[in-house]
Amino acid sequence: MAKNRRYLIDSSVVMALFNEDDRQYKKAIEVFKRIKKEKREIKISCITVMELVSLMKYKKFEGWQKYGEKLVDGSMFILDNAYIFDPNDLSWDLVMKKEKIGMVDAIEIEHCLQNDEELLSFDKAQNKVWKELEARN
Amino acid sequence: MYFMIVHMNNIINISDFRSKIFDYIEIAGKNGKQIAITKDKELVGWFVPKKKTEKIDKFDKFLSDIENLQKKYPIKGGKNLSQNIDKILYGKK
Repeated sequence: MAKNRRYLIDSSVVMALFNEDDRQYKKAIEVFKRIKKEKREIKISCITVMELVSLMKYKKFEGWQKYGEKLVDGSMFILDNAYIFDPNDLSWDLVMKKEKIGMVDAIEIEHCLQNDEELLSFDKAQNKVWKELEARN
Repeated sequence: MYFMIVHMNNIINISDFRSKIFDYIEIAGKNGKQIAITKDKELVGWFVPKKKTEKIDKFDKFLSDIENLQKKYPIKGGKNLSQNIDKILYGKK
């Protein structure tokens, strides 16, 4: 396993960090401090950005535009803009077969496997599938 | 011949500078001012304190920016927001 491979961040970690009331808020802060020590980079998929911005806008969170800008301004995250859908993709297969895996969750898992990156997620179901598939690789 | 205008407190004789170098390092470090060193009333050099250059780490900067955003626009998403994203956006999975 490559030690310094990049992380791919899921919306669960970002939202926990943005929302001080969240049960996982402190855990999210600790995660960022740990990654700082590890000197590793964090990538975010454009699909994850869409999900987060949609959520914040839909929930009418004041200042959602400012939070959104922090996701894409390059100050913290490497923005991955490339996603081409294909029904032969692993992500499509995962969505079809795994009950608790959403489309974005599946795309992130597939992206990590394809690019030798580590998934950074607070979503238990997503982490379970990711770890199973990573162990097989 | 040239004239240099400096604050009187910052001009010292080289002998004085040599004998009290550690005092001047401390003074320069505290007030951050340059000290003109003279010999026989002529300027022979400057004692320039090293400026602290704080390199702000991108993680610290990001967390600080988010903290500032939270002060201005606190997200009131409840305790389970991070676990309920799919439920909110797409319905229960």
